Amino acid sequence: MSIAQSARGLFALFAGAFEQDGSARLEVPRDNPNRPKARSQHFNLDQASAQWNGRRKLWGFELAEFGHHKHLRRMHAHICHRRRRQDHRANASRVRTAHRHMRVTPSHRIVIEEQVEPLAIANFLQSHHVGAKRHDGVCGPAHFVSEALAIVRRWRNEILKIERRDDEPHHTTVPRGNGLLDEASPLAEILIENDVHFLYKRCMRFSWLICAFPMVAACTVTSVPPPSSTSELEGKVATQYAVIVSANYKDALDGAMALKTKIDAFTASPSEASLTAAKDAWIKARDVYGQTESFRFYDGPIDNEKTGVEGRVNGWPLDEQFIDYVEGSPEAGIVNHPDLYATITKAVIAENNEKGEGANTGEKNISTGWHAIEFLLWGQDQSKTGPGARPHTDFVDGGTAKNQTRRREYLKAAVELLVEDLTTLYKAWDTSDKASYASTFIADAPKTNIQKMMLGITSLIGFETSRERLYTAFTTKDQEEEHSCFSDNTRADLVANVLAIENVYLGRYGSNDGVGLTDLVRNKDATLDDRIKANMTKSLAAVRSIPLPFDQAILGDNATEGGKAITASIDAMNATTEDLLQAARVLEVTVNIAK
Amino acid sequence: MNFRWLSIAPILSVAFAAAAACSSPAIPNQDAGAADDDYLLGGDTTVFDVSPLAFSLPARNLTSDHRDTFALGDHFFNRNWVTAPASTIDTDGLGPTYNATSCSACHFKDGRGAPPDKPDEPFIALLVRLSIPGTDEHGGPVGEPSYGGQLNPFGVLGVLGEGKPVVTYEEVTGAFADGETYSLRKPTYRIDGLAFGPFATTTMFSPRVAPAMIGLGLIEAIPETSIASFADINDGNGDGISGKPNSVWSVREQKRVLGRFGWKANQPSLEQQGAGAFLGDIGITTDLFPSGECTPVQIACLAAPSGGAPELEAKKVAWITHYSAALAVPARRNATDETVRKGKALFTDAGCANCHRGGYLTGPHAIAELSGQRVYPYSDLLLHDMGDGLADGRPDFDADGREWRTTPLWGLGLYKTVSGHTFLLHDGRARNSSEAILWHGGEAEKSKQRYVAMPPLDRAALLAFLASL
Repeated sequence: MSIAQSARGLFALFAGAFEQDGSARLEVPRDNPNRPKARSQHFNLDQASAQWNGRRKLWGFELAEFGHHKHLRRMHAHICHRRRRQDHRANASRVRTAHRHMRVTPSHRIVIEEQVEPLAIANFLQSHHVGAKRHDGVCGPAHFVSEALAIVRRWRNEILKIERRDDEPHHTTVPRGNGLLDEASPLAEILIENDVHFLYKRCMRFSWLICAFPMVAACTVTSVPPPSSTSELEGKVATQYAVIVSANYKDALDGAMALKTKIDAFTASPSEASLTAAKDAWIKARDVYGQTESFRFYDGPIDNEKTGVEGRVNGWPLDEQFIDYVEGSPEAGIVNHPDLYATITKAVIAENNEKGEGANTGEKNISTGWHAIEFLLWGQDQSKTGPGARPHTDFVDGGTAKNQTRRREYLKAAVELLVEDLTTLYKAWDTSDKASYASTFIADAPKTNIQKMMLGITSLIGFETSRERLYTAFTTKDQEEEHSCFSDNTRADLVANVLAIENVYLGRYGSNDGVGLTDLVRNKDATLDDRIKANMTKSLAAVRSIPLPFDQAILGDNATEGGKAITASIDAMNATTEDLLQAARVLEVTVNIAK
Repeated sequence: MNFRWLSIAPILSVAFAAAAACSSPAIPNQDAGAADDDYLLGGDTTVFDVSPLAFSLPARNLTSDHRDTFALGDHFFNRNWVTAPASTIDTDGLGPTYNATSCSACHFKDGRGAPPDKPDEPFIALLVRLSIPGTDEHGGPVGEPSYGGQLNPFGVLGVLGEGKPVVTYEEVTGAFADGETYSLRKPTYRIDGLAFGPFATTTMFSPRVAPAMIGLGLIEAIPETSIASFADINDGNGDGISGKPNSVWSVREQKRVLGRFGWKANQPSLEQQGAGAFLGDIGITTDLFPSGECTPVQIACLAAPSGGAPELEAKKVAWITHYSAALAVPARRNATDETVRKGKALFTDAGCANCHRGGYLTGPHAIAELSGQRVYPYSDLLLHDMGDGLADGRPDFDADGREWRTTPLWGLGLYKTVSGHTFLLHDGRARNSSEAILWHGGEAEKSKQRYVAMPPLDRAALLAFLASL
C-alpha cells in the first residue's frame, strides 16, 4: 500500500468514525431519553469503534487496513485544524438552515421537506459525507462546494420542470468503477418535494472532506444539550401516539376485512340473513374506524397531499343518486348506467369519486368508502322509526330494482377498495417497519409531533364533529346531513369521534394505555387538564343521551328531548374545543383554530 | 492537539442552534418564517395547512359562533341543487338553465376551476359571458337578447341548454433571452348547438374561470382609500402603469360603488358576487336577484316550476356569504428560503409588485375578526390594460375590453395540491405560472420583458417565490 493510499484510507476511516457517531445520532431521536449522553467535546472512541465494527461490513471497508484510531485522530487533527477554523463559521448558518428542513430518517433516507437553497443542501450532504448520484447517472461525490452546488442546482432545475412525477424509477444500479463512488450499496435515498427520489452513495474515499467540514461532523457528536424533562416526555407521548394509531388502524383493517367476508357471502348468496350479517359487520367496523378520525388534519397518511385516502374512505355527505336509484329516480346512479360506466370495478369507482357527469359534478358525488357501502346495504332511509330498508332482492337477479348484477359488483368493488385503502394506512403506521411513516414520525422532533396530535384533535372536535356533523344537521333539520344517514348509525359515529379525541389526549386505545397529551398539560396546568377530561366525559355522556333515531332527534327545537341532548352535546364539545385550544397555547404549538 | 478545543463557545452555540433548529414540521410552524413580514399572508386569519383541504379552513381567529355559521355556509356551498319541485325542499330550484349544480362543482375544495381537458368535455368551471354593445341603466353590460348575460349549457328536464361552448388551442412558440424556448396555448372559442338561433351579430364573449375562494373577506375589508391610493388612471407618474378602480352597480345600496371581485372587478361585495353566481351559474333566485334569467324567447325556461320565491332564503344567503368571507388564506411555505427571497427581490425589481402588491391593513368588516389585519393579497385590486393577447374585447362597467383586475396571488403555490392543476389566467389558458407571466402584455409588457431576459436561475427563483405564496 502506497503512502497516498494509506493516507486516503486513514482519513476515510476518520470520516467514517465521525459518520458513525453522526449516524448514531440520526438513528436515535435527539430527545430520546435512551440516547447515550454526549459527553462534551470528547469523541467516544470505544463507542465509535464498536459502531464502526458493526458498520464496516455494510460499507465494505476493512478496518485492519487503517491501524489504530488513536493515531489517526492525531494525524487528522493536525492536518485539518487550520481549514476547520476558517470554514466552520461560514458553514454554520447554512447548516442550520439545512438542518431545519432536512433530516435523515432511520432508514437512511434524506428527506428534504422544504425548499432549501442549494448551498445549504450541499453543506448538509457534506456534513454527512455523502456523495450523490441521480438515477439518470449524473453523479459525484459532493466534495467541492462548487461541484455539490452544481449537482443540486441541476436537480432543482429538473424538479421545477418535472413537478412530482411519480413514474421516475426510484432505484437504478449505480455504475461501478467510476472512480468517484464506492461500490457499496446505496445507503441513502433522497426525497425532494415529496416524490422525486434520488439515490445517494457514500464517498468515503474523499477523506479531505473531513477537513473541509469538520465542525459539522464534530457538532453532531458533541455538545448536544441534555434533553429536558418536557422534551423527553413529549418524545414518549409521541411514541405512544404512534403505537395507538397503529393499533387502531389494525383493528379498523380487521373490521373492514370482516365486512368484506360478510359482503362476499351476501353477494354470493343474497338473503335477508346474509344482508343483516353484512350490516352488522359494517356497524361493528364503524365503531373502530370512527376512532381513527383524530389522525387526520396534519398531512399524515390518511389525508396526505399525494397518497391520502380520506376522501375515498370516508367521503361524506354523499349524494346517493350518484351511486344507485332513489325514490322517484329509478334510473339514477352508476349502478343503473352501463352506458356511462361499462364495467364496475375498484378502478372505476375510485376514478369517479367526487366527479360526475355533465354539470353534475362536485364534492358530494361520493362513489366509494364507508358511506357508499352503507347506502348499498341499507338504501334510502324513508322511515321515521328506523334505518333504510333496502330489500335483499335488490341484489338477486330478477329481483327488485334493476341491474342487480351490477349492484353486487359495486358492493364488492367498494369493500375491496376500502380494505385496500385501510391496508395502506395500516402499513403506513406499522411501527415495526423502519421505512414506514410511523418510524419517520417517531424519529421526528417531539414538538412537531405534539403539534400534529393537537392539530388532529382540535380540528376534529372544533370543525367536524360538533359543527359539520351535529350543529349543521340540527340547524338545517336536514336528514341528509346525518353522518350515517342510511343506517341511522350517526350517534355511534359521534361517540366514536369523541372517543377518538379522548384516546389521543389520554394516550390510550382499548387496553393499550400509556402517556398522553394529558401528562404534558398536567405538568403545566393541572386545572386545565382536569377540565379537559371532565368536558370530554361530559361530551360523551351528552352524545350518548341523544335519543334514537338521530334523524328524528334533529327535527325538534331546543325544548324537545332530542334538541336538549343535541344542544348539550354541542355545548360540551365546544367547551372541550376551547380548553384544547388553551392546551395548545400551554404546550406552545400552533393549531388552526386560535383566538 | 485534541478535540477538547471544540468546546469553545461559538461552536457550542452552533451545535445548540442546530439542535434547536433540527425539527422539520410538515405543518409550518408560526415562527418558522417570522422573519418575513408577509409569512402570514392573512394576518391572524392565516391557517397552516398544506393538504388538499388547505383552502377549506375557516379563518384561524374566528370565534366559536362564527365557526358555527361557517359550517352552515359550508353545507350549502357543497350541496347539489336539484330540479323543483323535489322532496328536498331546502335545495330545489336548479335552473331552469344552469352551468353547474353546486358551488363546489366549480370551486372544488374551495379552489380554482379549470378549463375542460379535451374539446368534447363540457364547460363546468369555465363560463362564457355574453353581451352586446351599449350599457344598461346602471352602466353595466347589456345581455345578448336571446341568451342573456351568460351562456348556460345545461337545462333541467324539458328545458334546453342554451348551447355547447368548445375551446380549441393553438400552440404559439417563443423564446427567452437565453435561447430557451417556450410554448403558449392560444385559445379559440366557439359555441355549438345554439338552442335559440344565432347570436346577435355584435355579440361579445368573455370566458371566465372560477377563482379560488380564499381570503375574500379580507379583500372586502380593505379600505377603499387604500385601493384608491394606488389608482393612477392617466398614468400621472409616467411609469406606464395606470391602475383604474372599477365602479359598479350595487344592488343592495342602489348606487355605483367600488368593484372588488370578479375578473374585471365587476362585483362590489361578496353577497352580490355570491347571489349573482347562484343565479347566473345554478339558476337559483335570491332576494338580491329575485327573477330568473330566462329571456323572452326561452318559453320552456319561463314555464318551468320555481323552487320558491326566492329559492334561496335570506338567511342561507347570509350563511354562504359568511362562509365565502371567512375561508382562510394558508401561510407561505419556505418564506425564508434564500432562493425564494431572491425570487421575491426579482419580483419587485421586475415591477411585478407595482400591481401585485400587499401590506394592506384591513378596515371594518361584518366579521370583526377580519378587521385590523395586515394582509398580503399581492394585488392592487385595480384594472389594468393587459394587452391584445389577453383582451376579451368586452367592457364591463368601467373596465374596457383590454382591462383585467390584478389577480391576487396568495395561495398560488397550493393550487396544484388543492385543485389538482395549475391552469391560470381568466380562462385557464396558462398551464403554469411561467406561462401566465408570458401572457402578460400592455401595462405589464415591460415586466414580462424583464422576465424573458432573466437567466434561467433567476426565472426559477422568481417561480420559487410564486410557489411560496
